[in-house]
Amino acid sequence: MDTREARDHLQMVDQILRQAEGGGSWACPEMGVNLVGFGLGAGLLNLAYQFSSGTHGAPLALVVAGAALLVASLVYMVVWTATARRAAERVSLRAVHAGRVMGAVWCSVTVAAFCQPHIFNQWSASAIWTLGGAISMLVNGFLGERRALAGGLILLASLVVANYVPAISGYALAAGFLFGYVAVGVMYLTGIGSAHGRG
Amino acid sequence: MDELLLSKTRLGVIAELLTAKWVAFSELQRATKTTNGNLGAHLAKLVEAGYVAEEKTFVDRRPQTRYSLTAAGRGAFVAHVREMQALLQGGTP
Repeated sequence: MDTREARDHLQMVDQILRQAEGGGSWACPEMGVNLVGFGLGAGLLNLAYQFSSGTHGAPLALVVAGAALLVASLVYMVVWTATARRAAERVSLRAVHAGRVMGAVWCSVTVAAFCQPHIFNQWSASAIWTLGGAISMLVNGFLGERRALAGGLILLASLVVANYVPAISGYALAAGFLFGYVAVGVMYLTGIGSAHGRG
Repeated sequence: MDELLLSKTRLGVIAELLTAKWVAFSELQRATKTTNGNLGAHLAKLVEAGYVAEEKTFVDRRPQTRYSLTAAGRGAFVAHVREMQALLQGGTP
C-alpha cells in the first residue's frame, strides 16, 4: 500500500465514523406519540392533585383519564420498541448505551415512586416523575436532539417553580409536562424543528 | 499490514460495524455502495477470519442476515489504522 492509498482509506474510514457520530436525530412520529401520551397523562394527574390540595378531592375524571393515558402510552411504547427493534436494519452502539441509561433512569424512578407514602410525600412524588422525564430528555438532548434538550430544561424549570411557588406546584409540574413533553412530541409528529423534515 | 483490510470495501464494512451493535446486509450494501455478490464475498472473508460475526434471522417471515464486529475485528481495525497513519507520517508501517 502506498501513501496515496493509505490516505484514501483513512479518509473513507473518517467519513464513515463521522457519519455514525453525527447519527442524526432519533426523533420520529412514534416517539412523538409517546411523549404526547405520557406528557398529557402526567400533566392531568398533576392537575388532579393540584385541585385536591384545596378543599375538595381530586376530580375522578382527571385521575382516570391521566392514568389511562399513562397505561396506554406504556403499552404503545413496549409494542413500538419491540416492533422497531425487530424491523431495524442497524442498531448503533450509541442507541444501545442511551437505551441502558433510559432503562436505569426509569427503573430508579419507578422504584422511587413506590416509596411515595413514606419518603416522597406530597408533591415530591410527582416531582420524581418530572425528574425522570427531565433526565431522559436531557440524555437525548446531549446526544444532539435539540428539541429534547429544550424539553428537559423546561421540565427542570417546572421543578424549580414548583418548589419556590408552592401554591401552584401542581400547575407548574403539569405545565412542565405540557411544554417539556407534549409540545416536543407534537414537534416530532409534525417535523417542526427537525433538520431532516418530518421526524 | 493486515492483507484482509487492504480492500477498501472490507475496511468500509469494518468501519461501519465499529459504531453499531449489528447491521443488516441491506444496510451494509447501502453504506458500502456495492453489489449483492461483491459484498457477500467480502463479508464471507471477514466472517472466515473471525473479524465479523454473522447471524441469520427472520423479520416478517423474510430472512435477514445481520453482522457485528468481533473483538478480533476491532483489534485488527485499530492496528491497521495505526499502521496506515504511521505510513503517512513516514514511520515504519
